[in-house]
Amino acid sequence: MKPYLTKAFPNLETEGCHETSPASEKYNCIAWAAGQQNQWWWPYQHPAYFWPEGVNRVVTLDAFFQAFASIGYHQCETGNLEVGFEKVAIYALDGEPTHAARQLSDGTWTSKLGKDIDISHTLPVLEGSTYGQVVAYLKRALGADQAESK
Amino acid sequence: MTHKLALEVPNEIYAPLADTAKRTGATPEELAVKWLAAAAAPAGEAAERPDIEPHFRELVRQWKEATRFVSSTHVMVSHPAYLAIIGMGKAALPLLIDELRREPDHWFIALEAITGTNPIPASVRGNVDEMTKAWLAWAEQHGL
Repeated sequence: MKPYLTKAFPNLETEGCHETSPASEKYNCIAWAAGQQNQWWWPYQHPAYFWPEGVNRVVTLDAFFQAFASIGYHQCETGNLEVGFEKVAIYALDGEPTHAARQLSDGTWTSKLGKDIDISHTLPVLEGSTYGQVVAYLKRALGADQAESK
Repeated sequence: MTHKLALEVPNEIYAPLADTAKRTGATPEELAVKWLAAAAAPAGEAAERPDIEPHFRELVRQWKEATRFVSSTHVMVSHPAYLAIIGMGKAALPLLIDELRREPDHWFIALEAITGTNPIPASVRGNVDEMTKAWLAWAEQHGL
């Protein structure tokens, strides 16, 4: 495990993770959780940065819920694997969203770490002082992304 | 000697200014004065002051290291090293363009703060590759 990773995410020491893509400044965790690899999603108050149309550009959980609602997600109780659904977990630090992870079909999770690499992991691996804790789960029916784009 | 300026700015400029001010403990007016000072610095200053490059490279290194795992644009552009680069003003412009050519990264807010322009078309918002191309085309047009 790369030392700079375990420094930021100490839980990696015990739980580990798998690197799945190289570092890229082209997309971030929110875009990756939303299924995008060519955009940087963040509610920054500048038109250069992507944020779904009509959703407030503020760093609040509600704004993030609305952003994911625009692509078919709604809140759910747990991150347990549910047949027919895909899920997103939202991490927050001091009440502000910091990170999102997307569930894979085997129940593990995939994350883009800022401008760094993509990994597959368990949710607790990324909890700590960098991203805070998982505070919410969202889900949508599998295939809802195609339905949204029709 | 000081002069008093009363400025009307659109919300798309004021909102990020106010947000950065809130996060850095400065007032929007203090940041605006800093950005104006940077914009007023003579172009070509970098060529006359070659000693700024090592400092610039060190700030870039610090910023990249500190924001490696950050998704928040707010956090990225309010990092002290990023603000220090903006504070270098037009002297940093050739170095920033060079950095964008060598290793594309999120320099768009700094470039806009320094130049007072935004060449990124609305159709490519969020697309780092296309935003980079837009800035490099602007740089070419301006002989950078």
